[in-house]
Amino acid sequence: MNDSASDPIEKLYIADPVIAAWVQENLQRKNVAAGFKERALMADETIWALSREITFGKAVATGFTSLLGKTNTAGLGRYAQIVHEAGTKGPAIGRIMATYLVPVILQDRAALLEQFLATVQIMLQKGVYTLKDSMDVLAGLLNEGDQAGGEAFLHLLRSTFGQSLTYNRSMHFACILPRAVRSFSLLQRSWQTRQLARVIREDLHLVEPFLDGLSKGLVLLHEKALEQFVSEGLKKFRKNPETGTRFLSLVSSLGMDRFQDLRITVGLAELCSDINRYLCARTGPGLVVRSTASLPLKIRGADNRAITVFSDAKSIYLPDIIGHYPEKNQNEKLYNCLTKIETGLHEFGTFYFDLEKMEERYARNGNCFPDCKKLNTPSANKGKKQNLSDLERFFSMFPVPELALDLFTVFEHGRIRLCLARRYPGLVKNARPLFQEEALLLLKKEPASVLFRLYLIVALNISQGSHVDINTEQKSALHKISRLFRHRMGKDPVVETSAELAAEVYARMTAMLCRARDLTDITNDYHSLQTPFGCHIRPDLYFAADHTSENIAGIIKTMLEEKNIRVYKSDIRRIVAEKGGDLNLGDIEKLVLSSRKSANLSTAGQPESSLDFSWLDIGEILRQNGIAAQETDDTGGPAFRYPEWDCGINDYLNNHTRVVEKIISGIKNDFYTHTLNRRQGLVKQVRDSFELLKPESLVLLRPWLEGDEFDYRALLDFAIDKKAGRMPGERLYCKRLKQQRDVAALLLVDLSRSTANSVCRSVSGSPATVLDIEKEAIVLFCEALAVVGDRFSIAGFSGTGHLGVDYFKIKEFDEAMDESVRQRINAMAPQRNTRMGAAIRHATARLEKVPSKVRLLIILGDGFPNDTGYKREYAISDTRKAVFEAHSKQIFTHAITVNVAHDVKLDKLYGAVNHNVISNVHELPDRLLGIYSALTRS
Amino acid sequence: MPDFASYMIIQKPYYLSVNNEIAMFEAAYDAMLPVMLKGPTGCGKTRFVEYMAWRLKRPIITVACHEDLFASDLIGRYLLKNDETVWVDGPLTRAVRMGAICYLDEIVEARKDTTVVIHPLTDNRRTLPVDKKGEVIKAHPNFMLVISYNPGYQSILKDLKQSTRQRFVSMIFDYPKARQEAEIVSSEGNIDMFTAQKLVLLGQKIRNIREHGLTEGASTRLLIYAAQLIKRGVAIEAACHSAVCLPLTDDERLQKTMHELIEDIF
Repeated sequence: MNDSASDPIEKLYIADPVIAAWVQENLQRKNVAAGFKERALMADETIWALSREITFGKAVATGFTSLLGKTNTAGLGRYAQIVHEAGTKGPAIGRIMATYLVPVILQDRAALLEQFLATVQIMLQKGVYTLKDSMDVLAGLLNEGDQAGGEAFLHLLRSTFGQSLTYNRSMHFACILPRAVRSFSLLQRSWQTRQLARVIREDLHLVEPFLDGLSKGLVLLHEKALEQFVSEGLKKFRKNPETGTRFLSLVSSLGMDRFQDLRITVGLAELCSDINRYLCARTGPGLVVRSTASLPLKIRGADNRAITVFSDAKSIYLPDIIGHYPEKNQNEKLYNCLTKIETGLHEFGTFYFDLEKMEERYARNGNCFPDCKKLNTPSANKGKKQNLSDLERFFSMFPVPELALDLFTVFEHGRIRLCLARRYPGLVKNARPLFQEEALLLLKKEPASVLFRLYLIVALNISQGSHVDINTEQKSALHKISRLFRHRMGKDPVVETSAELAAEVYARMTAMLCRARDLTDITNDYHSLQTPFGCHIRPDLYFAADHTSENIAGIIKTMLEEKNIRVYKSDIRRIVAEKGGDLNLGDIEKLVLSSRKSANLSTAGQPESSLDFSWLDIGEILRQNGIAAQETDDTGGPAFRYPEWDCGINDYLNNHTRVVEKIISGIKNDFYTHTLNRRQGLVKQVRDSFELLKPESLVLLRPWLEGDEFDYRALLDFAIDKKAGRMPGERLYCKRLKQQRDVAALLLVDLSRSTANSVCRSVSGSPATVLDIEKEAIVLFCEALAVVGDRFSIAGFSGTGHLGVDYFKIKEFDEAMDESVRQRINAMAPQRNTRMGAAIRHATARLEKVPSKVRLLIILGDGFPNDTGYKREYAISDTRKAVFEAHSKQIFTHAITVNVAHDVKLDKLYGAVNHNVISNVHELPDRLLGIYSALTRS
Repeated sequence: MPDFASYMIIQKPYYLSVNNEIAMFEAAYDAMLPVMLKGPTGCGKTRFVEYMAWRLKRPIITVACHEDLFASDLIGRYLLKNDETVWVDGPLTRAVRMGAICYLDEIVEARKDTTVVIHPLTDNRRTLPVDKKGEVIKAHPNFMLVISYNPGYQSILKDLKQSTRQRFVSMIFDYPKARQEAEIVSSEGNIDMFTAQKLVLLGQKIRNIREHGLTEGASTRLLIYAAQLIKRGVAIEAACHSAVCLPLTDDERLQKTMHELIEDIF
């Protein structure tokens, strides 16, 4: 048989033309060169599977298509055999096997395959229903390269389903175990899963308590610590099941104390806000820390276990947990040091490398890089790769771009060290020993390359130990490079110098690496530089996150060049990044003028006086690049844009929410009057008590320099002093001053759908909704504030999605409490969702304009914020941020949550002392006024 | 003329010009226009007025405004002296008569009805009516009124009325640029330029976290205080802590960040 014979896929066309066409197309798209034998196997097996059931056939075709070209013939044969065997037991089992066996076969590990088959065998005894979720998660783990996690998960499944289980329990575990394993962080997944398996083997009832314990903090324990904790927990469980269960779920103080003792790791989440505040101080707003685990595998790199640190334009990526040292405070220190050093790249302009500046350097120095001829004409390469940044383009000019990047990293880390030492000597003093120790450990672990030794000398300033085991020639070469580095950086410590040094040393380093490994060429066999704590420069990531600034800078530069005005693109990029949507012509003018003053740029443009940039439509350029979206409002009321806090990126999403002011449409009813009549007694009581809040109209001040009448006591003193020959005092008068209470309050009422929930009226027993009771409270609120004379406003909020936040104006500050306002209160009705942050921001903006001494925002809600894409932690952190913003504008915020039991998350939402929970909504009318009077009592 | 010499500034105050403020002030003086200086606390407004008084060779009378400041505190009052009532000029009247620069520091702190007395002095009338004496004093040609205020106050109550605002030539002050601020700190704190630059760097970094809960950033004045403590042998960290961090906030988290910055920079 050979390929010239008829294609086996043709047979498949007869069986199922659609599937055959799909297979053919996929193989062509993937450019898979599968042999005749493999194709025949695929066709035969697919046809057989189709004969059993069509979905089984499709699964087999998909499986084969995924495997062809990625595994060898033996792998394909094994796949076909196992799927066939499974298929004979039934198409459902066959389909599952055909689908989930693929990632296992792709790992090409016999042991893993055996474990997989054994696990499936065990689970099938409980039922096919146990397989779906678990196998989905397993495939996910294997696809992202977490083989250890996958094996541990299989072990967990065997440990669980190997036990005697009822149908319900099987269903339960088939649901919670995959979810739990998926939620474990990549770096800790394998051993956390192993401990979960240990717990399960001991007693199935321990699963939930242990998962509880993990969510409460056990995930922060390091591998050995968690193992020890589980061992102790299980020991306690054997003696007393109750004690052991509470220990493992961190409910008992014994468990919590032991957890704290064992804990050495530190989570990024704990330090995140402190680190971000520090970052803001160092670099201004915009840069935050994020967990590397939040990035896809392709970006963060395959090594799941090592610490890695790198940045993009907006974030510094750090491991989500660090347990590198045996002490917790050391790990905390490591987090801080890693951030502080990495911040240096942003602060000292690593990513503002400019190829044009390099070009000028080449022009000035002449042909001084004979070993890298390509570099003599960098501009020739410029146009070829439009999507690359200057740094990436620079590296792509070298035969081994990875080596160029590593050399650049060596010199750039060295430059940052020098810059930091000048500006932050304390930082370098604290951080350097950590990096040096780690580097020396790396040196001991495995034979280090010459490049790593250069890193030790240049980037870390370690001379001791870096020369061990290398020959004199290499030693001398390293010395020369190090001297060259010091010399160049002494003169011009900018990022382009690092690039220049990388280019200059490239050929020499290539030769040394080749000699050391006895190779003639390292192009296909280059091992990337290993740095302490995996600190790497990632221009690809940086520019992926900052391509907008790059694009805008490119457009502006081209337009300026057309007018014969030369400005560096990196300088434009810097100003675009700093100003964002606020970029204006004045900024460009300043930039051009400062560039002209700089000696580096020729002034081959117009004279300074003739600068006119009116032709440059900055707004349009920004809009085209999605920075300043045009606001349109088609809903009648005025629309306002506000930012929203995204806790995921620890940064604001600019202009993310759109709040539309609306007037609530009037429904004629007599709710207001009816409430006044029904609550007559309470209304009178409220009026009386609020009367007491009113300040005394006049206050008597004494003794005063001038006033309405003499203060007789002061006059007496005056006469005595005079008689005694002493200088009498001059404050002889008393005066009356009018005292005013100066309070403005805005009552912001949540009109979400949940306020339509029914509650029974405690008095009459008649049904009412949460909102009805809230409205009663509002009626009393209006009456009380009318007595005391405070300015007040009432508004409701609801909406759907970040662009559809509705703000219902019910009463304005300057509006009299007339019939129209009463009708609007009557018309208040449950609407849609609760995007609280945007509503608070809008209320704050309105309250900010009120010139009162005390400004109070009272939020009346019935639970947590909830909207599309606005839930749980995200919603809580945004609301909290909005409350902080109000506070910084000297607007006091107080929240009242009704109809829910107290939840500690409410403290998180509003701050521990800034809210009240009224579980029984019937107490609201009474309590609202009590809270208000306590808040505003002078 | 009473007390002329006692209000003169004999020794040249240290002032580093950061922009065109000196020329602007001189032009306003020449045109007999009142001046309003806006800027955050401790950025050099008062020092600038003192410097200009010295430069223009005019006496300067400074009034620190507060909420109990009455019109009579500015204009003057009758006092009893040896069984007689004697009129004593207030600082504003004194300045109007002798042609001094009258500097009303933090004008927004004064009661609103008090600030109204300066209105006739700040338009083309340049007069000061003294109701109690039934006298209208014509301002000396060299008289100049300067007020200062800090727009950082968030409260609308602390804002100036438009009728007052629109009588002044305004000049905005901010913290100087790093190099200039270092020069100021070095000169005023009498410390070396290197340490001064470090202090300024600390000040700048702290100003970056203003939105995280500080009402205002670290002022140049605080940096000078730190420099003065350092000059007197206080350890740098302790000096920065006492002179810069503690006065700014009581928030522990912010103190921690500032402490880290001090550790890194020094």
